Parts: sequence; C-alpha cells; structure tokens
Amino acid sequence: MLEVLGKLRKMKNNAITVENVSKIFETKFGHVKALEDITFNVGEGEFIAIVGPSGCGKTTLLRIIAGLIRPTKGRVIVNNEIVNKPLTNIGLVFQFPTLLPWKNVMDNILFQIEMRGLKKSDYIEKCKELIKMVGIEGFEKAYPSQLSGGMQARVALCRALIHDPPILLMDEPFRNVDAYAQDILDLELLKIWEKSRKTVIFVTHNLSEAVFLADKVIVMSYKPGRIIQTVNISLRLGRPRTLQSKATQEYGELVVHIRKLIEDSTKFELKEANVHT
Amino acid sequence: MYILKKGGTVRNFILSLIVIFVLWQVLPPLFKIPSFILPTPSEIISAIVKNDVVLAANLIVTVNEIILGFLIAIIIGISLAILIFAFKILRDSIYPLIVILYSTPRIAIAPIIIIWFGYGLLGIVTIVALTAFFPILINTLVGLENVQPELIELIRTMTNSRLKEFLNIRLPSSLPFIFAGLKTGMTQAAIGAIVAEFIAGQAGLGFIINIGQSTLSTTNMFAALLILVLASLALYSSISFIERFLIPWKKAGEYVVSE
Repeated sequence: MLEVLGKLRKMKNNAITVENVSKIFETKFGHVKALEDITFNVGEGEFIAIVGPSGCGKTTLLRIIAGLIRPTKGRVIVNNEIVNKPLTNIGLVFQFPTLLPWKNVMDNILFQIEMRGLKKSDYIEKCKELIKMVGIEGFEKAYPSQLSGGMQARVALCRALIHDPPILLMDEPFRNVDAYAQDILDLELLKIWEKSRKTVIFVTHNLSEAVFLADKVIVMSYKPGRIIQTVNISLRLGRPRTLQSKATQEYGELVVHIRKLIEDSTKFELKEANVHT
Repeated sequence: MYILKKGGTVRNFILSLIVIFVLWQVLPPLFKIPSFILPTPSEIISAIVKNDVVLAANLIVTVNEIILGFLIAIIIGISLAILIFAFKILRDSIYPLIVILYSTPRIAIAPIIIIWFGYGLLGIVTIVALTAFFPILINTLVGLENVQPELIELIRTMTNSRLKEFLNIRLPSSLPFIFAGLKTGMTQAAIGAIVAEFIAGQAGLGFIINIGQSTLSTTNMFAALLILVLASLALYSSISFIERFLIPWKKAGEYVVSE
C-alpha cells in the first residue's frame, strides 16, 4: 500500500508536461502539419525515449520542449512553468555535434560553463573525468575538425553534462557513433542517469537503443506526428540494465512490439520497400 | 606568399615567371619594338634603380593612402554591417541602397568626391575608403547571418545574453567571411588609390603613371607599375597572414583522426 502511494506521489511530480501540442509549419508548399495533439508527462528523474520514422516530428517536439520554437497549439510546462523562452536548466545534444570549430575539445566542453558565468577552473577536473568517461582521452587539445564524427558526438555529450543539468534533451546523440561505441556510451549514460536521476528525453530511431535505455518509449507516427502508443518498458524490464538485458525475452518482445506499431502506421512505405527485396 | 600552395606549385609558378621574363627580354628587340611602346625588363629594372628615391617617396604616398582608406573602410564597413544586422529598420532602408551603390561602378563618383573633399589626402582617402568598404560590409553581413542555427539554439540554452551570443558565436563564425571581404576590399582599395591619383593626385605611383603617359616615358610607367604590383601583393599577403593567425581552425582540418 505504502509502495503504491509512494509511486503515486512520484508520478504526480511531473518535470515536463506536454499538453495538446501541435505544430504547423508554413512553407511555400502550404501548411505542413509536423505534430498533432501531442500530450504526455515526464516524471522527475524519468527516462523517456521518443521513437518514430524520420520526419515524424521528433526533433521538432524536442525543440518545442526546449523552448527553442513555439508550438502552434498547446503548451509545454517544465517545473510548473509554461515554457515560452529557451530553457536554461537543460543539457541539449543535437543530431549533429555542433561544436565550435575555433575551440579545442576541452574549451568546447567548458564553453557551457563560461557562458553561464561560472568559474571555468572549478570544472576542469570534472571536464577531464567526462572526457575519460566517453573515451576521448588524449584529444583534449584537438580541434573539432581533427576529430571523427563519433568523437565529436562524445564531446557534445560531455558539453551537455558538464553543468549537471536536471534535464537532458537528446536528439539522436549517438547517430554518428559505431555500434560498439554506442553500446558503451548508452551504458555510460545510464550510469550517469542512475547516479544523478536526471530527467531525460532521448529521441532516436534505433528501437533497441530506446528499449534498452528508457522507462517509457513514446512511439510516434509519420506525417503528421502523433503518439501511437506509450510503451512502459520499466514495467517489464528491470533496472539496472546491463548488456545482458538485451538477451532477455522481455527485451526482444518489447522491441518487436514497438517495431510492429511503427510498421502498422507506415504500411504503405514498407510495402513499397518490399518490392525491392 | 599565401596565394600559393606549397611544394611543386611554387616551383612551377617561379619557372613560368622566368619563362615570361626571358621572352619579354628577348622578343621586343627582335621585333624592333621601341622601348616607349614596350620596355624590356632590364630597362624597367634599371629605371627603378635610377629613380629609386623618387619611386620610394611615391610608393610611401600611395601605400599611405591605401592603408588609411582601408582602415576607415574596415571600421565603417564592419560597424555598419553589425548595425544593419542588429536593426531591422536599417536592413530595410539602408541595405538596399548599399546594394544599389555596390552594383554601380563606384569609380564614376570619384570626381564628385574630389569636388566635395578636395585634391588633398582627404579626397583621395575618401575614394579609397568608399571603394574598399562595400565588400567588407557585405561579406561581414553575410557572415553574421550565416551562422549555423544550431549553434545559436545551443547558446540560448546557456545564456540569454545577446551580447554573449554575438561575441562568442556570431563574430567568430563570421571571421572567415570578414577576411574574404577584407581581401576583396584591399584589392579595391588599391584600385581606388590609383584612380584617385589619376584624377587628383599630386604624388604617388598612380600620379607617376599618369605623368608618364603625357610625357611618353613608358619605362617609368612600367617601373611604377611593377612597384605597385609588388606593394599590392605585400598588402594582400599581410591580410592572409593575419587571417592564418586569427583563424587557426581553418587550417586545423588537415588531418582527421578516425576511430
């Protein structure tokens, strides 16, 4: 009973609330409906993954939550405040590393600190730890143009973590990283999350990555982006997760389930693709 | 010389220069072309040696005009670009005018400038500044506006200070554009200075070339021209040098580490 109450209380503590959010882009080809009536809650310390086919508006949704663009309808509430300007209590990772070409690895990470008016020297140790954690030791003084895409992505991850934000918004952060490194980075991300219990929204189209990381996976459809289903992962897949979690039956079933949801919503495209195989 | 690539390219360039000068030295006498039509390189060089003091004095005059006008063009060009970028009203009102002026041959208004500002240094420097300023302004503006939008989004999650955004993202991102503008501006400044000296100069390399035309001393004209080419090259190269110093990340991409 107490446990249930405790769970209820935890559930009430929403860090992020997305209410009836729609987004219509005005282009020269007319209105493009990117998002339609998106509603969901993210509890404090919860890890949410958003999956869906390319063009389903995942990135747009993340930008709206971050306050970088306004929804056409609906609203986003973060920590009981309506979002109407860019959030500054977040760590943001884009699909592309988006590093400053004129700063080396260390200074790119510390840029976060510098811009917040914090003392850089207080964060140098932490910066070194992060660099070690993501496996780019020895490249502290390298410029982004000297790094591969995957290494740049790791720098971007460090930059999003250095100021210890309560909320992490990540848009396919590891898409340029090879599969082995991706597993390692996923594990490191989980380790950080378990330690600091940040609220995470993780956009990806890698379904197995989504299931592996998240408490809940929000599955979106294509054009316009709607939520098809929110799949509760933690109900079936316990924590802490290890690479062994990927070998369990539950894991496999969850991935298949989500894949099926997406396939059903995009039947037309997949049929087209089948012609070639 | 930063206009050249390393290694074999330099060698090829120097070889072709030597070939051109040898042909230039040998062919005109062969075809009995008089030196008031086309003096040979050896005649030009001996004219330079003979008139070294005069040429040096006039070189200083011209370089002085170019540098003064160029500096004014940098200050006005960059600050006006920042203002146009910051205020939409300027963008709608002044910027179209600037584009119209840019697309007209600015040299055409040089005589008017001389009437307004006189035959002295002021008039000439004004012409130099006016010719150099357009490419600097336009390139700076293009640079400020073509920042990767994700970089702007990113810094807005770090600070809401637009000044920090400008100084830490926009300005450094535009440096390569600004330098492209400075290089074009510098060549324009040299043109401006020479034209100004043609119409109003009392000294300078352009003045010497102009006087040479009326006295048919072609060798002296070529001597002044050669000095002018070398001076322009030196000024242009010094901008490239500063660029390398200020934008080291442009050359940092020479090798890529793979995973």
